[in-house]
Amino acid sequence: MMVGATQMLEAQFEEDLDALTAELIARQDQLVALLEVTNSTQGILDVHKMLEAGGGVVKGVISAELTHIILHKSSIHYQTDDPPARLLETQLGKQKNDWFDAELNLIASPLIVENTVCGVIALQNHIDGQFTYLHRKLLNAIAGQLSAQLDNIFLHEKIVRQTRTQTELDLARDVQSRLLPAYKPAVSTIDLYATMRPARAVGGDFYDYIETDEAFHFTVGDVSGKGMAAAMLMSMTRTLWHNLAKLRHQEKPHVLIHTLNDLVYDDFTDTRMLATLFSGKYHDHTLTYANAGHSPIIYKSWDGSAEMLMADGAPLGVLPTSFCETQTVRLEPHDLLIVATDGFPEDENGFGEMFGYDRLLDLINDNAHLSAQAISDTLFDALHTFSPDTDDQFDDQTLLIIKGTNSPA
Amino acid sequence: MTNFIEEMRGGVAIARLNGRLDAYTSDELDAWLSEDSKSTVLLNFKDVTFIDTHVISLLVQTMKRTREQGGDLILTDLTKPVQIILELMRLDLAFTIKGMEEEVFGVAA
Repeated sequence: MMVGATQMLEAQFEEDLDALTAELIARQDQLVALLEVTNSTQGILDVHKMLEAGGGVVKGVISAELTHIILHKSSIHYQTDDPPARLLETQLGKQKNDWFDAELNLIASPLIVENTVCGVIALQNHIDGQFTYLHRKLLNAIAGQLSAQLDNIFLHEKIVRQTRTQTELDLARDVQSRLLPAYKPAVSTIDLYATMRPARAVGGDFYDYIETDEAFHFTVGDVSGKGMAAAMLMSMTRTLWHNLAKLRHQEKPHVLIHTLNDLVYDDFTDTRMLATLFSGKYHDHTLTYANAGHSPIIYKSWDGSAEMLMADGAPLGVLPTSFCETQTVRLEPHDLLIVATDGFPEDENGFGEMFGYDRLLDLINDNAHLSAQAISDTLFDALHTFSPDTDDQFDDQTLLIIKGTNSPA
Repeated sequence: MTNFIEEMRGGVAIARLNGRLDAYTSDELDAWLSEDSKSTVLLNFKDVTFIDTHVISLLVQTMKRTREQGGDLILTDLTKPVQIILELMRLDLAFTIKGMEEEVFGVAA
């Protein structure tokens, strides 16, 4: 009885020892395999090449005939050989755990990135017969390693994409700022200041001016849309305005706007865009202008209150024929004309409140005695106080200020 | 996403809009308006608080498309903020605007 018990204990001990040894070897194998997978995939930033390298190592380590890797993320599909149907389901995230199929002689483990199944790795036809529990554990560990590597690659791709977009935005911003006149014009009897604060995402604001023998011509416009497309159409519109103002300087402003609308209408229709544009002409205290849907335009005579001058025509690109007419106002010494873009009144603070037109008119009434540049600085300061976080400035903000003077500026 | 209620009435595709409509909330409306089968479209703005230039471009594009197809885009029940934006841009001269949706169908409100 005693002997029998001792034998039983010894047998149990041997069994435990075997299991322990197997476990240790398995762990050892696992570590070696992981190390190999890590070494062979590290630093490869191409998903296909990385998986090909990893797949090759796995096949060798676990001694299988076939490796299947299927990936479903960002439209990348990578597969080896002819995958069994159940693998496709795992790859689509319908099966979140590892599994085996004795009939197919196959073990599979999902590839998981950011808690989402994005693919599957599987081995088929073990060379020595069936896959064991230890093989499954090993495949799981390797799948984990490949997933981590995939995570790296996806992150890298995301950064590259963002950098590319940023470069495009920088280019667009560059186009936009280069087109703005870099000089301050010296026009007799007016003090002029113009500036633009571009939005982070680049809007389509622009301003321009040109002096001819006859008058001083100026414009402020806002092309709808953002980014490169807006910047390109903005540059087209600005160039057309510039050339028309130069070549047909004797014409009234509304003629210029009608012609501009004829020229851009088809392109704007094709690109689903439109532009508001104010075109003015100053000579000897007389300001004539035409306005295609642009706002706000604020006028203040030296002895009156600031008021909005409303547009009388739709924006460029809306109707095949523009109905703008030319308006005239006097610009005596100390009279003010301020042409802004909607990024000004529509600027929002953190509470979803807009800067608004009333605030703008009040500020102009209070600061009309200042120079054109000082008024501009005051308005931008007020905007900054209203919404200090400039990082989320949604739209370009443009100001062109003309103040009548007695003598040459 | 801004939800809107749609309905067909006498060959007119109607959408009743609500909330703030801008570049971030108008994708569904964009897709709905872009369907060529809708040659006459009525947009009811009764519960709209704001529209931005992106949405205005969308309306202009729809106006052009429907008119080319012999139909039209009709805007009704404009709220004050929407009316102000359209008037500032003088788009009230370009769009067909009706006071109330019912007027379009000849029913006394």
